[in-house]
Amino acid sequence: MTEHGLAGDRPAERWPIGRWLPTPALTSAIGVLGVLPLLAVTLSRPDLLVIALPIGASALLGLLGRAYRLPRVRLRAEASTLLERESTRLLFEIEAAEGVDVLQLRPVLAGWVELPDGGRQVCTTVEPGQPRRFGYRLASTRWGRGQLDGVLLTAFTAHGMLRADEQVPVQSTFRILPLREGFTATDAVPTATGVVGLHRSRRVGEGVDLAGVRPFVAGDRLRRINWPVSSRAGQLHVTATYSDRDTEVVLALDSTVEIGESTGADRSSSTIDLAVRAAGSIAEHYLRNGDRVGLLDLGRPGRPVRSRSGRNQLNRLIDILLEVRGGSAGNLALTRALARVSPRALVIVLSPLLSDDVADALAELTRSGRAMLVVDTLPEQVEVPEHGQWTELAWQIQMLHRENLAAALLARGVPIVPWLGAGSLDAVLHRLSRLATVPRAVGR
Amino acid sequence: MGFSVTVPRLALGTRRLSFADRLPLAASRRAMPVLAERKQWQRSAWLVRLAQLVAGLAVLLLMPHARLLLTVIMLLGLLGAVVSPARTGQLIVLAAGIAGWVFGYGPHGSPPVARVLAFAVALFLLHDSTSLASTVPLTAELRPEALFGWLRRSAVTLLVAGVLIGVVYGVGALVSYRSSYPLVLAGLLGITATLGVAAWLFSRSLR
Repeated sequence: MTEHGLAGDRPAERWPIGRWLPTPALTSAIGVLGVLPLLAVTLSRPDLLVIALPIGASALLGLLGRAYRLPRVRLRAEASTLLERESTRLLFEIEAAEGVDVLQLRPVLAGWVELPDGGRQVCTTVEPGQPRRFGYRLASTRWGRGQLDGVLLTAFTAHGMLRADEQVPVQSTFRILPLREGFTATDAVPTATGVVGLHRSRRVGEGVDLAGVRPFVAGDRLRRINWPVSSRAGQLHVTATYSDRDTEVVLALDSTVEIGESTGADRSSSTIDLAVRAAGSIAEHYLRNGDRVGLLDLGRPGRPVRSRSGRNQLNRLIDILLEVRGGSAGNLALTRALARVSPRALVIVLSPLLSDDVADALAELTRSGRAMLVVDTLPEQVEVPEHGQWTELAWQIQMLHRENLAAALLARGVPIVPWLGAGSLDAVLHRLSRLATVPRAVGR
Repeated sequence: MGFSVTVPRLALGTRRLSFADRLPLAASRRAMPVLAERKQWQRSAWLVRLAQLVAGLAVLLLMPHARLLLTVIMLLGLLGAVVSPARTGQLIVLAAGIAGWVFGYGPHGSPPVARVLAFAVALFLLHDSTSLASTVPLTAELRPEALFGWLRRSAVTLLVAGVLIGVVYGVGALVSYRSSYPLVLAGLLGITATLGVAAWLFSRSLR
């Protein structure tokens, strides 16, 4: 909440004095008041005096009962963190030491917030000792940040004949979290490591998933004895299970190319919009399952977020995602950044596959045998800016080039899946898990 | 300018590049800023301007023997005052209205009282509604409390002006304005005093 004009306790300091300026209404009234009575007297015409009287009375009464001090305005939002398409209320609180005729308020909003039901420009009034409170719906339009930078205030007094303008500083920031689509994925991951977790590892141990039934050996726990099998076989047998482990997931977000218009959650999305929303959903899913998740923005490869688990990591990742902008990085920087990813991590690349540098870096990464999959983030409908008659042809060539890049990655064993929300990665994760169990040669 | 395209889905194997869904965006985007602003115009702001227009037309209709030049000036001023009330259109329309009244009845004319009162009220309403319109941009929402407060003050002003008008006509019934030199002198003194008070209030307001 931001307050305005609370400098001290004395009334003169507590309420800011406005810099009042005359409006054309005052000029007109003074003109009427100066000319008509003079004409009335010199021409002996009382009707001219009668015509001047209402306007003159308005000017004189207004100037006698005018305000000197500006009202105090507070603006407050009920919530500072929103999801895309979510709304909160922006509350206006106005109080005044002297009444003003009309108070024009214009909140200065920046970023991805708007006032859809009015409130962008409000004309109200306030009387001394009668604070006025009202609110308008403040809605988020897209992931990112929104800001309330201040309120432009114009007060009118003396029946609209004097005005004073002032900017009330307000600093309020809104975090708009990317829309998370309730993403779920299979438990299967290529390399379940760590100590605890929910993913079935390849190792037999304490767990839930059945690995098989085998003869009892010294050291086996008695509660693991499978009595039906033991009685049939005439020899003690135990139920073997796979141990549960967690995994490390690194989300590599390709922000080097942005295609499409980013206009809001309900409208058209750009490649970065789709990538950020997908990254948020995937990160939330794996972190809730106790896994460690890291983030690498390929547009800024020098600032990776190290893999950690827990709720704080989700907040941290979301904060970083809110700052994602279109950027560019050289092939060498990308290759170096990807090379620093842990060899046992599952790398999920969110990319529209429109950058040669990114495709080269991914191809390089496959040589080291890392488990990797690419999520295609090019939206189904794209707004392409037109730059002349060749734009359509250039776009077709770009699409052909994209197909070539995708084909090259597929040939290297990198699966590519479109982002379709829940379950869109399941088939690929199962395949990667199976691939991880077979021995293979790795080029070094 | 741009076009909308359907992107082939790589993983599904679609290879068709379709421009069939292209949208005619160019024309709509060019006109978008104006259209977007028009959609934001508020009904309350429009109603204030409508009141302004009605008052202006009433002034025009009440002017005796309206001359073409003054009528054109008044209409232009009225248009300016309605479109941009925070500018000088208000002064032009008031000046044209008063000039039309003075010239319409001649230097020593004596118009009927009812017509004088109607003209005075119409001129006041024009001035008052233009003042209100200058505080309410077309895209701004005028909240009811501000409108009712303004109407209350206007009513009080009209009441005070009504009393003063009664005094003017009362004095006029007792003494002839044309023959009473002390009354002319008192009028000039009154004008000087009023202008002095107005100037003092005006200079004080700029502190």
